[in-house]
Amino acid sequence: MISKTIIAQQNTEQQVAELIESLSHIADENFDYAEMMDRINYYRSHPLNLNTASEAELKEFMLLSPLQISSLLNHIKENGVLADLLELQAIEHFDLNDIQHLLPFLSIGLPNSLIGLEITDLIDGKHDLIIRFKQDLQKRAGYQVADSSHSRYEGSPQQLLIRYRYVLNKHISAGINLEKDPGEYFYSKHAGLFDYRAANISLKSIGPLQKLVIGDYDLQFGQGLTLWSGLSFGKSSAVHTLVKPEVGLKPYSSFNEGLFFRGLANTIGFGAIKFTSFYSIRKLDASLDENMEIGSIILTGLHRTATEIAHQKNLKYKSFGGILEWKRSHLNLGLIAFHSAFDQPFASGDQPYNLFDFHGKTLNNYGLSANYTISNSYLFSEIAHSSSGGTAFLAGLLTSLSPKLSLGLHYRNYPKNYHSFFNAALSESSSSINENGFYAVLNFKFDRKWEWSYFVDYFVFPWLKYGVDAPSDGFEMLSQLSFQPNKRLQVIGLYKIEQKQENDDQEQTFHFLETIKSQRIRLDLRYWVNKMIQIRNRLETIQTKLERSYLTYQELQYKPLQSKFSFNCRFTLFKVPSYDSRIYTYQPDVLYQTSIRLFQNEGMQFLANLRYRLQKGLDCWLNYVSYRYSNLDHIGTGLSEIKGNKASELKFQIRYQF
Amino acid sequence: MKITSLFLILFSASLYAQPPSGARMTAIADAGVAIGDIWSLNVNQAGLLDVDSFTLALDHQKLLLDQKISASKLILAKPFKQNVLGFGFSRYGYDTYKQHEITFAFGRAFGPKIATALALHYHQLSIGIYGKTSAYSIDAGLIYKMSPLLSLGAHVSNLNNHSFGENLSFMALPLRIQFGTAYSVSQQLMIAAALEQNSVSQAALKLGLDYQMIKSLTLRAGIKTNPIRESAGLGLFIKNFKFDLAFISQHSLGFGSQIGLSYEF
Repeated sequence: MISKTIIAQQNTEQQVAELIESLSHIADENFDYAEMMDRINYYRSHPLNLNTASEAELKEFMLLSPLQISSLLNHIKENGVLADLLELQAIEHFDLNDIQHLLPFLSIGLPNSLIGLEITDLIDGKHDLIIRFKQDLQKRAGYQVADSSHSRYEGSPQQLLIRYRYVLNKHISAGINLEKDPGEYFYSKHAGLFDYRAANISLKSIGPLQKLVIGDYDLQFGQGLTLWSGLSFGKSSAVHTLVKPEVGLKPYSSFNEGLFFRGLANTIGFGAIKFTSFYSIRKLDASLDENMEIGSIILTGLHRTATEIAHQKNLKYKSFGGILEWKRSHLNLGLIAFHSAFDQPFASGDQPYNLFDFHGKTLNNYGLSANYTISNSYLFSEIAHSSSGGTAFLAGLLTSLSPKLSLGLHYRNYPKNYHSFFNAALSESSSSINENGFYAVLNFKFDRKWEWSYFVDYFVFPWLKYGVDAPSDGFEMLSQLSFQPNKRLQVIGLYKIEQKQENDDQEQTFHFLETIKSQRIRLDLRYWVNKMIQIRNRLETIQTKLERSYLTYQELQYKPLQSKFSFNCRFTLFKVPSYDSRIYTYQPDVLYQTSIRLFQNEGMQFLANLRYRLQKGLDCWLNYVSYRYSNLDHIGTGLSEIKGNKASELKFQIRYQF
Repeated sequence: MKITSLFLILFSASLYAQPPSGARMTAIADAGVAIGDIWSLNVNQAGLLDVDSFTLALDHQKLLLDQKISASKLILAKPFKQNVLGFGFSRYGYDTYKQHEITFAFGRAFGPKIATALALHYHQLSIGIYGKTSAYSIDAGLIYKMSPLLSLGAHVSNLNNHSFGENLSFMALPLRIQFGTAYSVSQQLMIAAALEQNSVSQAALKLGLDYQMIKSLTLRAGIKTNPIRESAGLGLFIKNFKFDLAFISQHSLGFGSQIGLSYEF
């Protein structure tokens, strides 16, 4: 049973890795996925009690599909509480594989009057502190400029990160995130101590007050068309990611310095009605032109050079709004309205492609979302309007046509003049604007060994885009076959093809569009040698019109049950002619640091990740990554350039729970 | 208007590679190479062996973008012991572009698992000032029922690689090869997939689902790549009548609808 649990945990980590890899085309390398790992790790130490969990809590859990949630709640309503987790097998939409994946994160509480009393109620305050330190072992050009009048990295090359959580009881918790990126000042008069600071105090379930957050928070409502900040998933080989798990208000836990809310927010519930209101003021980074008009908001959170520091917090952003939710048996309705105001105006577009971009100082957003569960189907929809003129719409369906086959359909229509600063609805572009499309996804479990996933997404961009001087269209298709002949071996084959239109590269006044096609083949092999050792292999190749790239890695994972010591190491070889055929790979790292890496050029990478438990509650990690390129004599360009063909970085992290 | 219609039809002809098949097959993205029914006459004639008694079928398709373009067809099939005879007549186009096709098909079963068929098509094409031409083509098809749940199908059309002559030789009559499978996931649900390669364009993958919601009502959906075409439809069964409806959405052609009716005597 224990070894099963370990394998289940690793499977879940793998699922998370797959989801994150599926996002790699829209999020960049520095994106912080900790939010997701955070939740997974939380449930590992505080398993979700299925017998007492509310619908909202089940949604927050992220690994259950809306159909599973609805059939579970129905089952408990009709048959009473679960006496054993394996009873899940009898519930529609759960199969044995799913259950094994979920087991480490679930509990059923005690089947008597003690239900509702969580173990955490009995424990007084719990602290969780993480300190992380990272440094490149080679010096980048930006640190070697002595003349302060030239562009250079002003701060020190180390990254320092502190993450602190305090859980007093199930009602009260608090968190602080502090970070200084490489090249940033540890202390400056302008920005104070640590370049990035986020904190919050959060209250939960106190009478009609369901949630209250003072400080930094995320808002995730509907299907992400009107109001959704933070992490969200879209197209992937997992069918259920096409539905956003609407979490509502939640404390901000990420190190992404981009768009989130800072201020006060609360959710009050009375029977079938919930009302969330929020007020937020934040300072953002923006590039301003000579008329003090905003060119764009800068989301990287990097303040290393004089120019980057000059942009720091130069834009004031105020927002407030309310969300009314109503629930009746299988129907959920949500009404969203919020106001955004900037202290500087956005500039009007001066190019044909940005003609319809948002301009001005204020924006109102309104949205109406609905979802409905009917027998084996989950229907959802959202319609959103921005005061700048556009009305966007999406509708979809998640259905399990048989216990073996689930199907998801998603239609979207986002006009070119629809604007929201917090939209995360399913899309091909990084934001839900100027795009129509239809997405269909299918998952077919032949039997316990074979599983096939397929999706196809067809999209049209009705207006021009940057680098695309005419309306354009394209498609993306994925087919993935997974074979698990026994508990120890898993083989996954993936084929993906993507086709889009872009300007030709001829030197002429008017560009014609040409079709850009890229095909990816990936083969993954995972093998559990025994309870302690797992081997992972990958072979991946991408073919574009002009070139082909390759990547292969071998990874060894050593995770003994009772030992204080565990590690994984990976050796990667890659040959990637250019950025057009770049390969992204999810990479093992220290706890809460979930990274994807972009591979380009030719060479090899070695990675080692060690964990050591000093004593109960005190763990430390050491992570070393080194690259050696065979076709370069310097790595990177500009200030980030490293002389020579070697680059390496070292990371150390310590966690103290008390 | 005529010019747009001609453009559309040339474009759509290259999209379809041949005039559209029946509404039931259209709804599942023409992925029915391993499926047997009356509409197999236009996909894989070996499927006609699943027709149990004399059957008559009619079908009509229209594009919403240009109401003048339409496709109609008539199909008859009659089984004799292990054999089946099929006849089809179809018309496609509008006044300045017309394509007619007459099909004779003969199918023979070898035991309960193997069905084979040969078909002969006579095509006639006329395009306004370009004139009129005709061609013959031969098809061969095979369906293998591996188990009651799983069938495999293969089909070659225009085996003789005939093409339209003279001034209309630019109109392709491609050699087309299809492989596919149909799998009954449950009593209600069937999934069909097919891969098509023809001599004038890239390979296309077709995927269709056929879901019997209740005894007399079936819902269908399909998707085809190269170019992407989405489709959905439904089927109603009332006594010996089968009534099929299909909708297609294709970026360049817009929306289209199709209706089919068949009666089993």
